[in-house]
Amino acid sequence: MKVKEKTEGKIKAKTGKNGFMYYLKRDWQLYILLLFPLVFALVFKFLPLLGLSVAFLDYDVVGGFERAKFIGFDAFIEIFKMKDFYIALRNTIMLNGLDLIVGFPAPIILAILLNEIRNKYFKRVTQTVLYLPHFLSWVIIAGIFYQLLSPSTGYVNVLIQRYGGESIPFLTEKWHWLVSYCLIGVWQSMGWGTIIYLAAITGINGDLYEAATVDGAGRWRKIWYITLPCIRSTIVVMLIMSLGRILGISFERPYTLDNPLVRDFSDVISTFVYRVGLQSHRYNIATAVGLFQSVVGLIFVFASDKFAKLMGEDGII
Amino acid sequence: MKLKKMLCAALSTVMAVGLLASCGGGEMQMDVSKLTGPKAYDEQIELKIPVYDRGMQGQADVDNNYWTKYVQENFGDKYNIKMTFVPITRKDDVTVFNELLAAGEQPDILFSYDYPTMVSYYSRGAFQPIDEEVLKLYAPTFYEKTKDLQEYAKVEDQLYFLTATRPLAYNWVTLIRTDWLEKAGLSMPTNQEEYVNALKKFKELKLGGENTIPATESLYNAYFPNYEYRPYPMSEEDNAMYSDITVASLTYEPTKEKLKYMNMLYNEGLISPEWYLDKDGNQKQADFVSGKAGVFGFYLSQNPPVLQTLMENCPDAKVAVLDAGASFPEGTPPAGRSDWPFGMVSGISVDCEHPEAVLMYFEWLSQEENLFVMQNGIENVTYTMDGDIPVLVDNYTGEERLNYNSNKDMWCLVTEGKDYGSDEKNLAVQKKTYAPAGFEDLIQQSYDVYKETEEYKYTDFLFNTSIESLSTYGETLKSKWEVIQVDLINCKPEEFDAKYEAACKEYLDAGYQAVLDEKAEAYAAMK
Repeated sequence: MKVKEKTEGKIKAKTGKNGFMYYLKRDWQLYILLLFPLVFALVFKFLPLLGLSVAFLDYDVVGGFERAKFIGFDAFIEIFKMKDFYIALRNTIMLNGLDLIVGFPAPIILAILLNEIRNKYFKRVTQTVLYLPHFLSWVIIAGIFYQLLSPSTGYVNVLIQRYGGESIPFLTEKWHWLVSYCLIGVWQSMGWGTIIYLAAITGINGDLYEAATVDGAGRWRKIWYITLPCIRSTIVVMLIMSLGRILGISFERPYTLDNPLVRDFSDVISTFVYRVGLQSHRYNIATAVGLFQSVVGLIFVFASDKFAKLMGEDGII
Repeated sequence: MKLKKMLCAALSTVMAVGLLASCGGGEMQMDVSKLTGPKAYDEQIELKIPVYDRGMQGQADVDNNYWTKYVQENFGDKYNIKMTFVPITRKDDVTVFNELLAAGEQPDILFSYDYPTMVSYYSRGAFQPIDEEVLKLYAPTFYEKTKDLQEYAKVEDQLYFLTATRPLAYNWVTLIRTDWLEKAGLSMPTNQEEYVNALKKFKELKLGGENTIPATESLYNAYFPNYEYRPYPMSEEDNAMYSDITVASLTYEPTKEKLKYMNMLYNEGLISPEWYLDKDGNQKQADFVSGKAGVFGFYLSQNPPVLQTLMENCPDAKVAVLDAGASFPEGTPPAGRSDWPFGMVSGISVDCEHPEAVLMYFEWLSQEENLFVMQNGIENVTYTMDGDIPVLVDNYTGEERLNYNSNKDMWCLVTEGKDYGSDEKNLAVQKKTYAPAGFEDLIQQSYDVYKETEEYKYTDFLFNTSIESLSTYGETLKSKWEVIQVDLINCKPEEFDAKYEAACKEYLDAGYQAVLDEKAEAYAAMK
């Protein structure tokens, strides 16, 4: 009997049907290690979620939560009645969509190009130089480009006029502004974005390239049939993540590049929230818009994840 | 499963604690009968006083410098009060105060130069009432100096604010290049027609080189002066409805007229071609300093060295204060916005435990001998006496140096300028303080222009209640106004009327109608 019980116990352990306490006892060191990130997530990611309640309260900083009354969905109703909200929403989707079309492939192409460079030192220097704009604040970038592209005194337009051309309103006419906005964004973030793709490319097995060379494949063929398929999953994950951010837009970039002539296109959700919510001290409006943004972002992430799985990729969830 | 349950329990406990923590706090009230008048506290108390932080380079920390220590030693130690200065970012003062309020960390007083902001704090319950008897008891000098301003210090007949006095300053000047006028064979323009003519001549003769800018302009904030086209005298009701520095009065006829005038100037090429990109006025200053521009308005001061640099770039340049009538059509009186008679407005925080200590500090600052030291520093170190006028030592960099603008951000609680009792003496001091050496006459000219037009100036209408819609829609309307002004001033003259109609509709829908309605109601209630 005793022997049988013992063996049963062992078998049990092997098939993993022990209680939670068993594992806790056995691996308590690991659980304690896990505690730190859990507490971190709790304090910095979950606790702030309490603030979402502001969206449903008549909240004012002077009275605090004490005096705030429950107002249900009034803040949301007010937002959905505002014409400016829809303009901001449209612009956010438009600017992010353009960024996705122009800005998303750019680092991939650049990473592949960098990968093809033979001279190691030249490659490293180029890479570093391309990163640099990422570390500049948007305030500085906007300052530089307004100086360079100003219609009458900007260096670029002075040059164009000197060679007999017409001054181009790069930042002072809305359609031109749209193009400038995208290209300045590409210039700023492209180098930084290559890091992850270069890492993925480094992970590709060199034998594949050798075999392809033996088969007589040229550079184009190797890129097309080896490099790209090998980094496909990375690309898909990055794409899903950027789709999740389709309604999230940084504040600095549109705000610093903005001027009254292009407000039609440059007023996005973040600047709208800043103006209508924060500057006007209507924190419930600001919170409600933020909540709306997050919900839409979440839907996009789920949808694109589903789509990726349909395409035979792993997805991220 | 169990893990999930545990997590849930933990999470909900944390939530409950968080909610509880955000409650608490209560109202403070003074008990008048217990008050004894100013005397040292038995147990040390702390007084938290806000001070503007302008982020100026080369300045000592606003909350820890020679003069904050001076206040501690000469006021704090005497009454056993620990003085703590709370830096408030000047550009974001309202936001900073709001953040402090949200955290329950607000200083013992909140202040603003903007009266509506103060009324809005009030209506949200941020202040405690001030008993007039207590004020007289603890701050007799301050009370005496500011009792004429009581109508502004009261909200709904109860004293809430401590209002600083505002002696007149003459350092806002609009300058015109008189050497250009001479070259064009013209005299100082005294009405709009002559002025526009002069600008056209400046451009025609290319007096500032290839890209001459006859008059500089920059993007307007909500304050868009349209006095040229207002009826004079203006009815009180119109003043209440349309005089405002928080939102622009787009739908008001004089605003339309002024925009039309600006549109003409722009289309004729008489103002800065890229005025709409110049939000902070830096570009127009650069244009004037480099000698490209003919007319420029600014606060005259020794620093930044606008005139000094202009003289370096164009040694022949001569400037004078533009005649007050220059922008007015002939026959209209040169009216204008008169400053409020008060300066800084402060209120005692509802959570302040020792309001009498606040009053004692105001009293200390108001006393002649203390104020003089705070404004001028130490004799023969930071200033020297020229007759009976104190003259600040230029570029003194020792430890005892005054903070920005002669410590103004510290003594602005009680007065907005240096007041030595008479117009002549004040003028003499201002010449020494504001004008760079050799340009003292500009202050005199500005003073003369002021005196000439004083009778036509009037203040905005002051509501005794808070106009809520101004804070709700103010920022939205400001953003719209930026777009609309550029659109209307830069468009072709024949498109102006149609565009104006459309803009008005959009502006009213975006909240201006609500502002007008609320103002009309508040005005009717006051009558």
